[in-house]
Amino acid sequence: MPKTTGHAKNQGGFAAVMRQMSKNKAAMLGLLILSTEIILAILAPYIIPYDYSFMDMANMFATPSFSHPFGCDDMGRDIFSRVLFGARYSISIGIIAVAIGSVIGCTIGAIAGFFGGQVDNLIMRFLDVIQAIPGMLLMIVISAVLGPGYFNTIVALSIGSISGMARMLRAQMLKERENEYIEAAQSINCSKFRIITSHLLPNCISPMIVSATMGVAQTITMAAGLSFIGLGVQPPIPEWGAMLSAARQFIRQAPHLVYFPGLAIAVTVLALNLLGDGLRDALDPKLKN
Amino acid sequence: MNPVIEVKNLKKYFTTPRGMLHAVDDVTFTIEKGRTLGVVGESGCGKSTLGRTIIHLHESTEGQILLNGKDVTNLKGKELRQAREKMQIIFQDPYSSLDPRKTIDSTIREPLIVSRRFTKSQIDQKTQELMDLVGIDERLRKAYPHELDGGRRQRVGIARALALEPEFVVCDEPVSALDVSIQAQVLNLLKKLQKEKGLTYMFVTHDMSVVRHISDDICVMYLGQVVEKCSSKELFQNPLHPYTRALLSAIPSTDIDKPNKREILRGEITSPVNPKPGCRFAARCPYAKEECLKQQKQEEVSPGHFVTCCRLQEISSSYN
Amino acid sequence: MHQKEINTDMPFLSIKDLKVEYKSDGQIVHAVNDVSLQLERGKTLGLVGETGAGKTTIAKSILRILPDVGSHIANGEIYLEGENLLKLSETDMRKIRGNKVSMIFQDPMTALNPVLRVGDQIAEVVSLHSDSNNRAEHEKRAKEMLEIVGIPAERYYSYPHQFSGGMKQRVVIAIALACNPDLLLADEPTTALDVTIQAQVLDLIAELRNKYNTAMLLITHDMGVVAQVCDTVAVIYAGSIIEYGTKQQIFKHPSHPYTIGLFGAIPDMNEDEEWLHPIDGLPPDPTNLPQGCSFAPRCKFATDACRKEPISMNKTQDGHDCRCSRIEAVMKGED
Repeated sequence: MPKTTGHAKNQGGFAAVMRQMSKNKAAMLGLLILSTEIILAILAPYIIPYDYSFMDMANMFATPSFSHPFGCDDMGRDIFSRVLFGARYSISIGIIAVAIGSVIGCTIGAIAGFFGGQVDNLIMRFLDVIQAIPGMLLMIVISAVLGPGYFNTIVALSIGSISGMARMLRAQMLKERENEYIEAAQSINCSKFRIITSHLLPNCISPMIVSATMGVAQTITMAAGLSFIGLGVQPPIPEWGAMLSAARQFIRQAPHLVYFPGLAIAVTVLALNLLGDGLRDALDPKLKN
Repeated sequence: MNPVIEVKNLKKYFTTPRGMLHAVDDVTFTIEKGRTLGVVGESGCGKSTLGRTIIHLHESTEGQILLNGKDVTNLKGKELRQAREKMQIIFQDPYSSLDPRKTIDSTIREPLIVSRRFTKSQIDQKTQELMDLVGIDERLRKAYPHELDGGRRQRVGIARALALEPEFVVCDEPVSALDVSIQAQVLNLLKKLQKEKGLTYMFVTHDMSVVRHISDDICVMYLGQVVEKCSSKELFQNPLHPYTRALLSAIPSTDIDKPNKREILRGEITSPVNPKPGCRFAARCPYAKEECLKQQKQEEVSPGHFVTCCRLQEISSSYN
Repeated sequence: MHQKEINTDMPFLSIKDLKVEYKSDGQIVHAVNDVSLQLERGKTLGLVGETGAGKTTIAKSILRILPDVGSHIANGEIYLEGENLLKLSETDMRKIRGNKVSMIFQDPMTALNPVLRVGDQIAEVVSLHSDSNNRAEHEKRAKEMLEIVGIPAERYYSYPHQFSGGMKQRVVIAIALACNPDLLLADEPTTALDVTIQAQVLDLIAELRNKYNTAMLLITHDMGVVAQVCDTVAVIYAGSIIEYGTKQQIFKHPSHPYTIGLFGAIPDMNEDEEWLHPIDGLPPDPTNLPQGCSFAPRCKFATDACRKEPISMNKTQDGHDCRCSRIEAVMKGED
């Protein structure tokens, strides 16, 4: 199969989306914050001034100063280094969990949406059962069963995001399937697999990207929540939620212990939501003309 | 006599919550090679379903479809794919019938890729030929559908349908979404292609002036059934079924000297769900009597002119 | 109801040099360019043109219901009974909408609220424009309106989905006529309908127009509909009126190359012809209109002069106007 046209198409599509997005200042701000955070997270081991687990008892509860820009925590660890290093965990948990959840959810949703009938019925009823359990509760249960830890947190969060993704893609596909170009594809003998992957999915993917972007934000807060109640990533790993959790008993004496990881979560979630909103507009074909 | 498509007693029913919807009910016709059968009727009369059932986009409920004398009604798998290459469709809506995320080039080349009969360079060459054939500018090759106007999009749809060199093409209202000046361009193109390639068309439309222009023969459908079938000339000169007459008289004429003598229809359209036997037009027909509620039979009133109306003898004398 | 001071010197509806612009993606769309037209009571003016020619925009300008964002009336005056609608306050305008002027929209399927009974939807319009608060009275009037458009009054309690397309459009017409408007703006009222139903609806509209002496602006792309219903015709191309005249003038002696082309492109019901005569090319991009005549790029009679400067309306004694500087050549070319 000739891939040349496909390649050119993808480039054109991406460039067009970026051009559209660049008009939206809020979205560009979100993208800027997020890419800065990701770069800092990747470079964290090389740029953090102190080891994130280095305890300096002399500096216990040190308030922000020149040598410790975010101050120090209850064990004298540099909060700036910890927040920066923690970005690796928080952001990666969010992205990986949503990625896994999206892939599985989209596959299930695509199968349900395209084949319809009994297959659809079976899948949807199963998802109904899962969705009947409140999201946070479901994740607490899964984490409790699997035990705490970085990977288990990712597993718990991805299972939690599957049904939402599946439902959304299914709804998109049911809508998209009504278009005549799907019949056209059938009439020129496209296989079911080709119709799904080459026609339906590319046309359903825009809202999925938007919701995945927003989903990352939600997942980061969920992960923080799990860590906060002690089921997520465990200390001394400086995941932001875990940091909040550890700091909560000192909130009166040393509020800066809570400020900075809290601020990090808030800024990241805000950036992701801004980006998601921008993507929604940029990917909407109705707004393109 | 060289029929490309023969349809015998074709039925297509859909299951709905309220019962069986008789979308196509006992339709029979043949189309000779190189000719055009116009299928006219109002929305919901089953004309589009008929076209889609013939080319196997819907499974038929009953009846037979013959392509070049070979029964293709119940084909599956590879045989179905081969038969489908000979039968293509041009869609009504130039906006929804093209994948918005595919360039013009990849839309036209897709049938060639899927058929697996051609090499890359053959596909390149054929795509180019098709674009020239339907008159799409080379610079639009990498354009997306939303960058094109309706007429050009419809040309792309035509190129896609002709890519595999079909013999039979269902044209499902291909010009009804276009403005008249563009509509004329596309109709001329379809006619030119038919002459050059010896194509056989089934032209589905609700526009009587278009169907008159393009068809050799015409079927008039009402709620899934063919009520009248004859040559195009005969239909416009000597319409016999009361529905055909009402349909023709309802067309607003552009001739301002001849005010229309319209036969305004009263009454509500019968539901095609679980219809009772008998003439489905009876509820709106000014001539309907009790005998119309019995099963109707199609009759050949003159050579090649078929009408399904039991009161034809009596009422045709009142026509002038 | 509206016995205000009426300026008798002016036609009932008079639009002068109307110019409407949209902003889209930083570019200015010239939707309507210097459109002037007049309409008397009891008469019907047909606005004919292709998709995107600006027909609907003109109607929406009269009602002042153009989308708030990005569109504005750049120039012009719209007089209804001598009163400039564009100068009215929004409160005064609201009294005019649906009362003096109402509009029938193209798509009957989306114009009705699916969760309300059709009768109540008519009654609502009646109550909005009536002084009394008597519900029973409004209901009675709504039932009358249903009967007028040929729907039995007992269908008052039905919901839109229980009606066929033709019946829905008749309900829409009933709503538009519920307050006896003096001016009816009908935007492709029958395009979504089947021909047999269209015939019913057109008859109904004509009947009601004659009964109530309503002025009507009929927007359509169907020359057949124009031939049946209209008294005068304005042919619109790229936002400008390019030909204007009585129905006889336009249908018997079309003068503008575009109008002639439009008639040539319709398949003839009485003659057999092998090929149709399409108009080559496409309508111009409304963000980038040609300097001269907007039809010049598609016109076989166009000269350099046509392309250079805008063409002014060529007015004749008998009221047949044509925006073409080469009428003589066009007429000869046709003979």
